[in-house]
Amino acid sequence: MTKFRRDMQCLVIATAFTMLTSCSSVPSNKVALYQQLGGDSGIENIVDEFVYIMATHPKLASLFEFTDIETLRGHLEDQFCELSGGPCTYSGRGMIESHEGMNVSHGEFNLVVELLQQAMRTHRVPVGPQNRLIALLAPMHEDVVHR
Amino acid sequence: MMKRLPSLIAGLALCCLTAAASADGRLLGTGGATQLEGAAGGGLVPWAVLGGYATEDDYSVTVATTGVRSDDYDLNAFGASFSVKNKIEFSFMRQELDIGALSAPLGIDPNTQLKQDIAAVKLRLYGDLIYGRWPQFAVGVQHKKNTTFGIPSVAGARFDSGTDVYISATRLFIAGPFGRSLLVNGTLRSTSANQLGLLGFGGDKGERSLNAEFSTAVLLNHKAAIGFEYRQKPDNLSFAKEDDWFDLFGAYFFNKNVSAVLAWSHLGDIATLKDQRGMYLSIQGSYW
Repeated sequence: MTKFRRDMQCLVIATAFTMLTSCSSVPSNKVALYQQLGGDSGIENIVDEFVYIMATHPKLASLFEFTDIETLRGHLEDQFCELSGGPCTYSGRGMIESHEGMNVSHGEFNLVVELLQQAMRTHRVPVGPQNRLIALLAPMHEDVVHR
Repeated sequence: MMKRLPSLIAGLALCCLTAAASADGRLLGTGGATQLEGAAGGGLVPWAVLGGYATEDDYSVTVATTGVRSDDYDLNAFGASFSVKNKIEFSFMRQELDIGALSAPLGIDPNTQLKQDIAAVKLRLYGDLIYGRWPQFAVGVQHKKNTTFGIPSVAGARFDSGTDVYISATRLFIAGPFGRSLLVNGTLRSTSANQLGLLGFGGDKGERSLNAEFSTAVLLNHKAAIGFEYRQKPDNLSFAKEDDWFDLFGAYFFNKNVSAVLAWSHLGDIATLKDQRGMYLSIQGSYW
């Protein structure tokens, strides 16, 4: 086995190890993300659009059959605001509890992610802040899907 | 490439006709492209992801055509994959290499082609590309059959067929450097194939060896990515040195039905012809 071959194999193993041990990067300056999303009014606009296209989407409508849309909107605004480092406190139920019995599929979860991306694009949020918000929400996947 | 145009158009037409059916599944781009041997991956390297956009509830089908134009060779490949419930991927790829400039020194018909068929399976083992703590792991088996073994056997290849076994780990970091999503893939492959198998399997210098492959890509936005791939290669034949491959690629996902990869590839020496570089173009249609 040549030295180069050994080096390349070490590189791949090191890469795999790095992937195992690192989590999705969290923005170091959360206040900046809140501002990049447009602060209170920016987040309100994003959430308005997001909730509208989500609740009216034919593949998701059944999930929101028993949902009070106004309450959902308020909770999402608080949640996005708090997660992005803004001056808010999310006061809704935990993610596991609030999705109990909905049996959200992986496909439905991904569709919701895509609709949030679409809502942020509509409100001209740059790619970086879009990804940072999605990265903060992605860990909730396990608490939401198939509950 | 031109010869494959009819099949390409047919494939894309099939996919576009059914485009309206797909709105969810997995996130755009997470099925990767079709790599040279037919598995979901980058251009040169198979990744741990499965082709198409199926989640645990459904199936996906992809068709792909790939052309590589180096200084002295043309490689055309076309194939299809079928993935079940984001758990297992079956794929088939046919590769045809026009040996062009090599025919003169060998004193053979310039229209000679080297061909092989690759039937493959990839099993998703653990983890997920995006969610949860663990990267997605998959193990794959690619069985290759060279259907033009005359030339490879004269070159010193020992077998007309061979089986590659690989393990891949792939992860997408959603908010990577500069807030861009970063994909990282590592693959370890056990293979006896000479130049993918187009020059047969095994040789006077060796038979099976372990090779490392590496891919990384940055998603510029939700549709476009740029990246780099590196693939270590065996070197079994003393008649001609075989070099490692690498490429720089750009990928564009028009939607979940059509994607294209354009790459500048560096393929090194191939069957005595030096320093092959050229363009790589692959187009994939996907229906899930």
